[in-house]
Amino acid sequence: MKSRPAFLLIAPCWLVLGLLFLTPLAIMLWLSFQQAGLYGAIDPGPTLANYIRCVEPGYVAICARSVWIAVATTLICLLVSYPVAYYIALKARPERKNLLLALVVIPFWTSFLVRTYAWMFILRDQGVINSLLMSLGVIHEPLTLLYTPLAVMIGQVYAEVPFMVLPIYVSLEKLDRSLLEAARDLGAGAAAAFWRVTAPLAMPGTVAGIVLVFIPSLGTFITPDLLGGAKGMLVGNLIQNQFGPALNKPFGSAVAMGLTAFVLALLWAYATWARRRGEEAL
Amino acid sequence: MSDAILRLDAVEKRFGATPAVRGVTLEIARGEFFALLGPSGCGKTTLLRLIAGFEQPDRGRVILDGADVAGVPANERPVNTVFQHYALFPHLTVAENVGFGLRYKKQREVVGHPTSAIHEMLTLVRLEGLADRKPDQLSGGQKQRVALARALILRPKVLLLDEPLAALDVKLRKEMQMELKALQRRVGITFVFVTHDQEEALTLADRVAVMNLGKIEQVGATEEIFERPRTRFVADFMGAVNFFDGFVVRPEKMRLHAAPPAGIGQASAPGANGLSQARRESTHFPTSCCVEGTVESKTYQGETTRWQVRAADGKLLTVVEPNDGAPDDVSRWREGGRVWVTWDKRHQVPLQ
Amino acid sequence: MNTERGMRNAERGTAALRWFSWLVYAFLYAPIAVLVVFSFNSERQTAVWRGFTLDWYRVLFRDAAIGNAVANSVIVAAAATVIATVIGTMAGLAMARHEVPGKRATRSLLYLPVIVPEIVVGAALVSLFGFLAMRLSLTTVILAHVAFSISYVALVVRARLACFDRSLEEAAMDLGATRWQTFSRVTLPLIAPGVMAGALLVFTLSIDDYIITSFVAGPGATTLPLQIYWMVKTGITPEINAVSTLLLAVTIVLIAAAQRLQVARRSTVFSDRGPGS
Repeated sequence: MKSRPAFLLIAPCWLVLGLLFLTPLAIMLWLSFQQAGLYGAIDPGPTLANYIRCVEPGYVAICARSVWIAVATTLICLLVSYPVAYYIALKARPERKNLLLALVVIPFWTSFLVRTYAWMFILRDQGVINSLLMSLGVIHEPLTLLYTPLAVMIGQVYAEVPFMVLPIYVSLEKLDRSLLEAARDLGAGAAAAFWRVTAPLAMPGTVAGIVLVFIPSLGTFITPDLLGGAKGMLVGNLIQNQFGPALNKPFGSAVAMGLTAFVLALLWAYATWARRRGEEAL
Repeated sequence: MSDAILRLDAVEKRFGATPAVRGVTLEIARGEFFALLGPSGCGKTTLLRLIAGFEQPDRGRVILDGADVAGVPANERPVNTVFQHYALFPHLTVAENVGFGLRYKKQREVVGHPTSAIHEMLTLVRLEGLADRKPDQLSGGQKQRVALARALILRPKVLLLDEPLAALDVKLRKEMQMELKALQRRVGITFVFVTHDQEEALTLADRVAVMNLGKIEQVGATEEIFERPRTRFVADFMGAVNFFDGFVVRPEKMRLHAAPPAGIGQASAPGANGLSQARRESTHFPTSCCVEGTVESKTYQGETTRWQVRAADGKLLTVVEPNDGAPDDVSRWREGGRVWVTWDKRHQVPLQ
Repeated sequence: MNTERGMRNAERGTAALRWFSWLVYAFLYAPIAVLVVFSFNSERQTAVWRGFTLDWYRVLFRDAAIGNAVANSVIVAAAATVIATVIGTMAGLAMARHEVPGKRATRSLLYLPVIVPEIVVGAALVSLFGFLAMRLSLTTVILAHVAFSISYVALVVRARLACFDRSLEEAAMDLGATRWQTFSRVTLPLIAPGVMAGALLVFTLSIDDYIITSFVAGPGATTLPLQIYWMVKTGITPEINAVSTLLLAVTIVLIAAAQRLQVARRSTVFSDRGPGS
């Protein structure tokens, strides 16, 4: 009796997610064991060929590049975001905090595509940087900035910084200030107090930020597609390519399943870590 | 005082336009247990933070063991603090908390191996078995002791305690008071603590400074502060609430009588009974005074009963009578009843 | 001496932090500012300022393809927002309040769309539509957007209810309200900000989405992000700056409106405390 209204409330959500989320994933899983026929046709299979193909050197290189870009993005985001979060949480005037936070979040609400395009406009050969440098006479030939790993990294960091700042800020804001005073009182200098008290206590937020940046970076598509050029293919582009021009849905499905499994495994590890520390994940 | 470990010299501190400490001069002797007592907002905590180095004075000097510590940051001062809510590091064990400060410069002179020093300290505060616990697995009293151990292990010249017992419940607070006092005697370190609880100050401290509005009203031994308050504020804060022109009488020093007491009674019976009357009488009768009034309320407090008596001139007097079950037990009297209040003139404390 | 140096170092540290933060803010806003400024530049080829013009906006408003894309985007976003908000709010309520059968599984299910990479979601959905032999159209786009955004609403509403004082509802029932009256007069007004936040999130996610839409949009179902992507890929022109600026303006206005709504709501709560003061 008591669970009837609950069932009615939750049923539509089950229905939609079951039909439009679980079923597609199941179909994809099934597809990943089929064979690709001519012109995108699907020949029945069961075969492991698609998964075996994933470990061919060319594709391993793409995966390695994806992981490398994601790791680098995460590290740069961490280095860029920590000081900002620290400044807002512990140094800024209290009445300013909300404004400073809002300024970090607002770009997140604006179109990702547009923000990535902005970097194309800035970095391309006739872009803002090259035009400026050439009109100042610093250079005579445009620098190749667009379609480089550097461009991908800039675009990716630019997109992910808010996701790093926010959780770290929340952790630092919760920090009991008297603990910092206690550390100073017991003889620790500013650096020692940071490494022995602030950083360990802000660790949950820091790890959450790392997870929030690393995982989307693994599957990123628009940034490498617009800023990376032909040699900059990442896992996301590979999947898109197999479903699009390459007409090989089974192989694309296998790559997509691999990516999903990897992401879920990472999150599971994170959730376990958080639970062991007695904190709520994310 | 030649043996002062801590001297404050005309110290001033304001936050924005608000003065917090207004010209405090004070000397605290080596080995003393000293209390800064006052209501919230009186500047006592700011004063403590100025000594600890968390705040810098706008004017005046803080002299620690003969050295002016102007501009010396907290981590380089030879003082340590027990924080109000202990500020134990939640991510470290009890032993790690206690050993936290051992690796820094100002603690170089600490003798012995860190591990054995920690063990020794935990034994001193009776926490031997809990070295590997995290702070959130401790009771309030245990946290308090960890905070003490963490500060005392560094052998500070002065230990500062910010409302050290405020977070404990009443029973535990009484126990910890005794423990704290014994601990201070054993380690021989100067303790300076801040409290708003006059009873706690009297119980723990050798000397007390009563603060009000950023200034020290009176400094003295506990008995002196209690028995001989110099200002109306100190008297009031110490619970001596029966104010007359120029003097004050503690409620416990007053007695209630159902009939005009012999000797005084005759003089007070005719004419108006009042406070001016009482004063005049006190000249007639050098040892006693008497005021007639009506009982306005009585509050049973266990060992004592607190009476509020409205004198004829409208003044409200407070009398605390012991409930000793004697034949002259006043507990039978009703509110609205007529009573006589007497006191010994020796108990009149003159005020500035 | 030594100690004064210490104090000055601390101040210098704070100043360095402040400067660094301003640099990061500049990094966050410079690209946006550049887009906006150059949407008014009369120079077509390079990024050199040649003078103010509104030409690109004029071109934009005459461009039928863009008009069509905007219309498609608004239809999709509106439909997805309504459907996802209703279903998501119901799910959030159920999750926060009731003993839902399979609660743990449902929670994992709700997190899945947030976790699974968008590129995988898009590929999976197009596989489904292919399997069902459904023609790709605006309908498939709407379905896809509902699928990935329900979770956001459910999670936001559930979080809002988690810090909601249950005794308020009990008080309403105690004062004689029926279940439905309690819901409509107490619960709903209190979770309304959460529902609004969820709806706003769905709207912006939907109107911005490129990746998933690119998989499931059929011919004639081009949304604004698809159109912009196509324009970017075929050659960078000042019109893209202009349309980007307009899109940015719309999102900023939306956020500001949401913010105003929140502030207004908060002030009505305060004024409920009583007249005067």
